[in-house]
Amino acid sequence: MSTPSRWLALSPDKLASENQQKLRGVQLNILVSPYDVPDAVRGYYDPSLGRFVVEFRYMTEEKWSQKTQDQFVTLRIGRESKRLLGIEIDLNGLSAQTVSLRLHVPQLVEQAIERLSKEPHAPSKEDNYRIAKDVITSRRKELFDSLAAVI
Amino acid sequence: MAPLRRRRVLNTAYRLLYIGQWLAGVVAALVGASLKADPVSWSSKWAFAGVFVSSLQNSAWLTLPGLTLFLGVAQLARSIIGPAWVWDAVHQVLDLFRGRVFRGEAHDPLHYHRVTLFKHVGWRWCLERWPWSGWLVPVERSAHTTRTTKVVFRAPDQADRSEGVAGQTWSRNKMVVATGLPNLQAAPTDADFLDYSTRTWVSVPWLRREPPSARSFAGVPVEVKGKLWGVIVLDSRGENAIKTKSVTLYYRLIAPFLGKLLERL
Repeated sequence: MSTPSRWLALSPDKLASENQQKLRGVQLNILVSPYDVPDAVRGYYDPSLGRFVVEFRYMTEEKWSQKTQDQFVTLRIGRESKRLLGIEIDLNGLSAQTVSLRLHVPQLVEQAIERLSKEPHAPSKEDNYRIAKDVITSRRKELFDSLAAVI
Repeated sequence: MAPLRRRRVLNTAYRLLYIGQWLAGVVAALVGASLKADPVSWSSKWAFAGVFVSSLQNSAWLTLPGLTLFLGVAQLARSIIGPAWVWDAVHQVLDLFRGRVFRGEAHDPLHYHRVTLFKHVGWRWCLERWPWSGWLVPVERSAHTTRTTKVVFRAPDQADRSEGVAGQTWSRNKMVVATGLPNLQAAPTDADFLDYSTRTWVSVPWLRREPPSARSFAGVPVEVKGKLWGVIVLDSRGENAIKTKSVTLYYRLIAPFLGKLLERL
């Protein structure tokens, strides 16, 4: 197995924006649970799996289950919390179908998260999924740099 | 008895049960060993020994099952109470959290700014509706005063009926912050009670019974192994003493330790 790349530190306080809601005419301050905000992210190719993996690191650790999103994308979802812990992209299968993996893989990841946020259980974790997608978008270049070595 | 104050009694019970289990184990071993002994040969060595061995043998039908039952019940009771050292460590973690978040209020008495850990329980012995609703019960608090509180909050499956900042934090599974609340200790008006009630999800009669001194609150969900376990509520007499950034920053530092400790309970 290749050595995973180093973690990219995130700024949880910037990711978790304060949401002001009105209840019966009164202003309330509601924020995302600190458990749902990752403090680091990394992307690396795992040759033993034949997959490119994006992992999120949170305050506490948790066991995850695999959830197949489509033929190329598998999600790692927290067993209890339903938090998004990671995404696996099958590069071997994908490379046969697409010319430019470097462009396609980041798009696939973002689309997979978008689809996840529309699922029935999603409302309770929509903040977590939104933050994960924002992180992928904002750190795209650093996360998917190692793809060049794999292709 | 107030849940927090009960902690000292429970810690003592935990230690006594531990000692009791050891004693029960030793006695059970003695009784078991005596079944193979010959009272006559023992009495030839020491006068009282034969009588002692005989009485152990004669009572074995009762003492062995009784001691075994006691060992099981004591172990169950200890697992429910939780080790005293874990509760002490949780208290220290809450003190640390309080000290960091309220660093700017270091000159105030400790009870002006508090951190309370609430556990969600499905059942609670009470005469209110309903004991099985789902409740947030205070199980530990920072500092050494104001521990006789009996305040609990509803956190039922019907989330619309969640009470207090604690109940709302539980039902939303998000951080809830309420600051700049009216002062209910200094000639409050009906409008003050209504404002406080709306922003903290407790009824006006509830507030009038014992007006709280706190003027700002923050609720943070607490997870253990990815599962929602309870909530932490910070309360302060300062209108704006609770800074959201400080709460999230320092909670991120203590949460891994708190989660590991709560796994033991």
